[in-house]
Amino acid sequence: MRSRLKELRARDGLNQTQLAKMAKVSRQTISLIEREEFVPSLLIAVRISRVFNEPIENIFFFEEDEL
Amino acid sequence: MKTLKQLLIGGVVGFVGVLLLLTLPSLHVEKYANIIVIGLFVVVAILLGVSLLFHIQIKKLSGMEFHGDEEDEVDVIKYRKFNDYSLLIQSSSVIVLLALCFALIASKNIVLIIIGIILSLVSYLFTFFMMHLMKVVHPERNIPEISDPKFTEKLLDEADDGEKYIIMHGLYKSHNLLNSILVFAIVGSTIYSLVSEHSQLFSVILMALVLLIVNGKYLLSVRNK
Repeated sequence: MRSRLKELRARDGLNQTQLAKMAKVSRQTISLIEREEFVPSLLIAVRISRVFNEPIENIFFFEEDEL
Repeated sequence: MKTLKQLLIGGVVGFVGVLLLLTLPSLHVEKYANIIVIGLFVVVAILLGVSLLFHIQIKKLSGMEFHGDEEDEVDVIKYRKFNDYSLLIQSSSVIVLLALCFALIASKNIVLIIIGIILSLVSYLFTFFMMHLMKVVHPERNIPEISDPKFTEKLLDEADDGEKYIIMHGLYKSHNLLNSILVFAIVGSTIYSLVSEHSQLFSVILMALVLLIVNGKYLLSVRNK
């Protein structure tokens, strides 16, 4: 799974720690998602999408063979 | 290349292991018990000293304000330092226990036994400091008290999905490592018993029980979900 977290953070001027606080997760979780080592739960994905005011599908992307 | 490296390391470890097994019985460790216990105490004192230094550094960093990418970099440093700090305290607790056992069984020196008990208490005290530090690093979290009977469960509940994922990976690797190491320890103790004619059967039974209990607990936890 790929994500636009880093790009959206840069857009909104947020560091990982700030995004983590706003999404009520740890910085480690944000770091893992950005490094594509962890697929977030639906709850975390919704929280992140609310922080960026973007639909989930505009933030997280799956390759066709992953679906 | 990686396989060759692993083979070489395995060979060296195996050689040192066999060498130790063959030479230990003739070394009469009891003769050097006092020196070994004092050496272990020095190691424990160093570990506790370094952990105290880490404690101060983490507390200092937690009290400072950072902005932008620097805030993330400092969080990474704090996270790593806290893990190193935990490792140092856990290691010191195990080494002081080993030293105390050595003092009780081989040295039988009352002064060393008392120092061992004091150092054990200090190590235990450091575990409390660690829990306190966790609250300083994560003030937003509801970290349970160490005296809480459900401390470990509540502490795990405080971790989020990403942290649980990291913990799960770490525990799975260490569980597999524990299994392999205990099997090697059982084989090693059996060979030592045969070579030295000092029966290690009690330790072998204990280690086998630990293996059965740990694997039983893991498989029952997985099976009943």
